[in-house]
Amino acid sequence: MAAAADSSGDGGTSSGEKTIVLVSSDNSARFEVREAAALLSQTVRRMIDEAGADASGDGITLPDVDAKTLAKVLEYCNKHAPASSSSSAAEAAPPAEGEEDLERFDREFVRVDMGTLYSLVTAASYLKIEGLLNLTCQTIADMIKGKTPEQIRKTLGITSEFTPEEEDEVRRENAWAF
Amino acid sequence: MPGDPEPMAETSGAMVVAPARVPRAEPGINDLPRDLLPRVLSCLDAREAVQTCVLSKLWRDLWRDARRINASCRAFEIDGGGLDDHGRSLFKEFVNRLLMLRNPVSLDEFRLWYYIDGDKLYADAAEPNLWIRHALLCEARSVEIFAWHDKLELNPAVCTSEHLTSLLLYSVVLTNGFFKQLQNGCKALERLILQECPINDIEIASQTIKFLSIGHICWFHPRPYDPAHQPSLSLPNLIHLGFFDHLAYDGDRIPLVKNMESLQTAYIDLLKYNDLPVDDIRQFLLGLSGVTKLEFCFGFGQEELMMGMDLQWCPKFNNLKFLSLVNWYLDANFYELIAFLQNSPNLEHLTLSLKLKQHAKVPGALMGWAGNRLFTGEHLKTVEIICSKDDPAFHSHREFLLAGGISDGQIHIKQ
Repeated sequence: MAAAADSSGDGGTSSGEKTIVLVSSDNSARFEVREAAALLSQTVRRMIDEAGADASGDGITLPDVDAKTLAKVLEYCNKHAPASSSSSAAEAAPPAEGEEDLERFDREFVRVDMGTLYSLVTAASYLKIEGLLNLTCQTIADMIKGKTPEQIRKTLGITSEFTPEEEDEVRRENAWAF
Repeated sequence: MPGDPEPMAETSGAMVVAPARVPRAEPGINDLPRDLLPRVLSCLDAREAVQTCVLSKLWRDLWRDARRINASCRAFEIDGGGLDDHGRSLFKEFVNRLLMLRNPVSLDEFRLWYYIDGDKLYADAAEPNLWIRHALLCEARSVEIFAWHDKLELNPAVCTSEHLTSLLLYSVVLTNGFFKQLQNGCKALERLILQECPINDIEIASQTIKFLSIGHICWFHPRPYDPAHQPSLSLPNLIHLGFFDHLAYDGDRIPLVKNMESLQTAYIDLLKYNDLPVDDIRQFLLGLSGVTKLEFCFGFGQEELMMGMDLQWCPKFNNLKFLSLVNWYLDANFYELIAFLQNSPNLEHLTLSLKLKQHAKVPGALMGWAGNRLFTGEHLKTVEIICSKDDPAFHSHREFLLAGGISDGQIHIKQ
């Protein structure tokens, strides 16, 4: 939904709202998004501040985010962006969608394979999108809850280099938690 | 670039500093940037977080860097059973060790779920007070304490921090001097949320708090008890006030509003306060009168007040754009509605939340009144009436509003 074909750098939707162009790492995809959505990323915000007026010209390249991940991230941002980007703290403009609607969206959004989930959490961290970072970290945490160590290792793709004796030693060391 | 395809070789005494770069079809969590893993652990209950130490060498000490602690007594419940003395004792030891052994990185958040044994009120309060103090020393910005079974006695002196911005207390006793201590000791505090808290300290004053919620089953309980003592609110920078669902006894009074000049939104439910003096209500509403958004419910025994034809208890709400009247179930509520409408010239959205099916008919006297164009604001865009489908009350309310000059296109029903 967020993926747009190569478009001119000029910002402006039909309603006249300011847009920003974001470019994936391999330069393979350009996405034009509402400013309010793009600014959910503190990294993008900083890049715009630093680049000044010339930012919108060629679009902003994000060297650490590939096209597929960027598309998915922007899906999140578009959904969670406030209705207007010019909201002062006093107005506290809520997102355009209702809260229940957003929760449903979030639940569906993270139903992806582990590889995509890891890419999302990494991208959210790099782009400094607090909401997405919380969501993805919580999702991974939920996969740990209530599981045995062996189950967790399997889910998260962890190889334990511990010998059984070493594992016992760690358990003893932290016996107060077991 | 994939390195050695075998897992890191076993070397005695060697510290593992980087995850093994094993090329695999399935991506592994160990390939994530190192600083993200403690963040995942921060989402877990503290006991589970520490238990990840056995997952692999990389995970052995990650829990020490978690910046959020969610420590719940419940993690030490026996399967199927509850929490016994032994479990509680284990929990205390757990938290003590955790706070001692974690790395001295600052904390973002400290959350505690704690069982208080009513027979050991003071003994049981000792540790949590120390833990909270420790968390604040670790620069925690947010602290949330949930006590149950009985109330936690919080020592106000513990609340000293330059970093604390948000504090939530559930079932905690706020003793005399609590708010003064917050004012002097926690100069960054912006958010305070109280639930099921007996509030012994009745002068609620803060220069910094922007969001205050005194909610569910709180009650003002001044010590020494003096019915003339009226709580007071002095929060010049407060933006939102929640004041609802209290435990109120006969004769209890609502607070005197000394200063809430920055207030923008409020959720007020006075339902349990019976027979409040007119002056109390008048000054309270006056204190709220600068808001742009208000959700409001009167208490019991206010019928005469509401029906007093001069409706002087209601001040002008010149900035009010969103008004929601909840728990609507009395004839007198219609007078309440008129009072608010007449005093809110800039109102844009009105919501009426109908509770019971009782009032299908608008009192005759009121309909006559309404005919005098009760509503004079030009800005009203929508009226939403929340009730169940086929509720006859909807139609009577609709008629009432139509008689008052509101157009049909503006009225909607929502279930």
